[in-house]
Amino acid sequence: MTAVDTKARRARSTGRAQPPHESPERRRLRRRREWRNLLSGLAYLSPVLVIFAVFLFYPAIKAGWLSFFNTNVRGLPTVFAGLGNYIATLTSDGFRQSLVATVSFAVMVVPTTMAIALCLAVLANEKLRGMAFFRTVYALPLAISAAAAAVVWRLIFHPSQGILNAFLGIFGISPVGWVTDPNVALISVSLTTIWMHLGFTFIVLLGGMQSLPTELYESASLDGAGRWRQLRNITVPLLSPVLFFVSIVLVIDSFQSFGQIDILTQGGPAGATNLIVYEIYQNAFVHRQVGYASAQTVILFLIVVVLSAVQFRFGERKVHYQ
Amino acid sequence: MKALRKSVVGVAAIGAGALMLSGCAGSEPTTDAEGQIVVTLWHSMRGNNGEAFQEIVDDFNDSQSEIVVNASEQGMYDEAYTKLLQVVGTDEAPDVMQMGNMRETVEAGLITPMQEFIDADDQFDIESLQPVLRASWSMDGALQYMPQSASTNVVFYNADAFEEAGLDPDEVQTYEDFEEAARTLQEEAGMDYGAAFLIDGGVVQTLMGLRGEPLLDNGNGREAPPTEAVFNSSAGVETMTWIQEMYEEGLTGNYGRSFDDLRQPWYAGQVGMIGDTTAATIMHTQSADFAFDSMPLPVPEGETSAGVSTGGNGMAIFADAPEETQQAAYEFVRFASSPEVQARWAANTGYFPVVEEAYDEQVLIDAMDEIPALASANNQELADGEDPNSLSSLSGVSATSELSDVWEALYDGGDPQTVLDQSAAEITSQLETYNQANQN
Repeated sequence: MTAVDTKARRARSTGRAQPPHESPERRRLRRRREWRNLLSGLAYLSPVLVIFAVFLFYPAIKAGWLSFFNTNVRGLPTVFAGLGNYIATLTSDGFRQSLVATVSFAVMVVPTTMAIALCLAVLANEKLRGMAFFRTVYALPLAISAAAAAVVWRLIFHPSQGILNAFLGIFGISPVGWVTDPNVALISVSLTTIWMHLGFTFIVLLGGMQSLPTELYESASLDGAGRWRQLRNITVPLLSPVLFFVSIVLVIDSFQSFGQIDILTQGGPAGATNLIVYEIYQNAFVHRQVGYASAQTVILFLIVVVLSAVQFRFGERKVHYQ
Repeated sequence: MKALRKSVVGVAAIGAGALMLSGCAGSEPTTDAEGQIVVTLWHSMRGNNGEAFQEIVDDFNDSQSEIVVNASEQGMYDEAYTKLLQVVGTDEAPDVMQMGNMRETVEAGLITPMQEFIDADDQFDIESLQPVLRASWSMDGALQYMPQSASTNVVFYNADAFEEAGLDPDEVQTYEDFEEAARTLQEEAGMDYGAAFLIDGGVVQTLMGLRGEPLLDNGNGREAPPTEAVFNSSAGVETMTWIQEMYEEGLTGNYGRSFDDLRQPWYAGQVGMIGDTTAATIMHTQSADFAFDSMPLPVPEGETSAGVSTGGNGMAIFADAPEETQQAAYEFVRFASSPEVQARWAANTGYFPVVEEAYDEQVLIDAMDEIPALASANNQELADGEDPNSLSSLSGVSATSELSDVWEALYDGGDPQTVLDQSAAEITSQLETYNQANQN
């Protein structure tokens, strides 16, 4: 959404041409006014800037600095390592494994979440009696914290007492190691994550749909277009800015997933669900190699920047702004 | 702009001030309204054991009027330790904590060695501590932590199912016996799985310790800082192969890394034997509705047990705390390891008492009469503490967390030697980094 807004604003501001002839006196006055605007703008922004500086910029710069050192138990840099931590990261099997796991995770989570949320939003957009109830229910996962959701899913996935295995047992299917089998665990974590993200994605998509102009649908149905055709040729194209926004948020979220992994699998079994952020957490706080973890953080940051840039570059072409 | 700059400087100054204030925590002890010294204590005891621990704290607070111990549960050992390292050196840090990670805290100078308090105290006799515990919590020739909650991994078995299947627990001594017992339980008592282990490097540590086999070089890091992982020895491969083969034959189930997930199927009668900590003995009496008992973990054919070594935790006092507070914390630590308190603690939880005299206390004698698993655990032969390889490893890099990954890789069909070699190389490289960053 913000991306969309700033773009629109930029288009407007560059569209405003400067007056062709201006006396030096007026120009001076205008410059001064602009300076004053900038200063007052900064003053209004200062609370946010200070918070950002303390909680974002400073830690980010500190992490960059720490990445060039090996750190002791207290997390203080003691040995200068140069690029050692970066080289160790890029050559380590563990990091490569967790990168692969993270990408597969994002591939499983993002499209599935968007597809299900879109279906639910289309359903919930119908004007039927009692729809408010279903909208609330569909949006409910939004109100549940990652930790609480993961604990519930852990019970569902439990190897011997879980409801999923009990259900499979009715059909004579032998129990599945949802979180204990390395080949299945990532899917289980993805399922949990999809469910957790559904509420948010649903709300955003539904909000987008409700702001679509009804005339288009009216004229489309006059022309004899069916439901499916309306969805494909009107709803999805008009919704594309929202879909684009949601996809970016979901990709970044999947790269930052932590809570559900910590509770469901702790990165196991055998590293199968050791997503990047969890790997970083383990190195920083369990193995207490803060320098190494900082180098991994910097690399993760670069990956997310590049991914988002690629998404903007290629994804935005298909986005239709009204 | 000037205003902005001023406010930035202001915030920075406040920040610096806060840092300085917390930096000089140390001189004056915190006291409450009645002038009693407040000692902040962090521990990791939950459920039944948490209640029993709080009882000790309450008894101590009631027993005198100079010191108030303020105890709080901070999650499992690893979580609590992670938290500690975030706050150490600030006002938020505890004064005394129930914990492990001894090599790290000693090398980072975080704690005051327990030996210093004991040397200044003519009432406490260090000889009263069980030798294996004294050895476990010593480093550089001095006692660093006071042993408080000592436990080990044993096999808890469903005694009713054993009887039904015609099994004699006394004959389950070796790896083969254990396999055979698991097989019989499945066939004769209709269990889903004969046995199950928590996927936990700590269990590997116990299995190796029983054989007197080290995980790390330099006597498991007891004689000098460890520099290399050696758990990929032939002994390590043998033990892990045993674990893998039982799983592949379908004799053991995989219930993941959480104690709660492992215990449920045992309570439900779906699994006959579980490898679990003695610290859970009393919790089991509250949840299992069948007769149960415990026995030591097995050793390979032709070997005899080197005696049980202990895990659990010790009490550490932090060097950053004000001196008076540290002394007050020691008063509590000494109280908590006295024979009467330890006897009650052992009877209420299943932990081993850390002092031998606790076994003369009636409360523990009665409890051991009443609960077979408690008696069996306490009647095991403890290691004498002379052989460092039978003690748990003393290292700044935890080999046990890596061994949990090994375990999972083996359940997934990995080759034991290959997986152990990779994992040992990983630990060795972490040890190198740790030694560089912490010992210069």
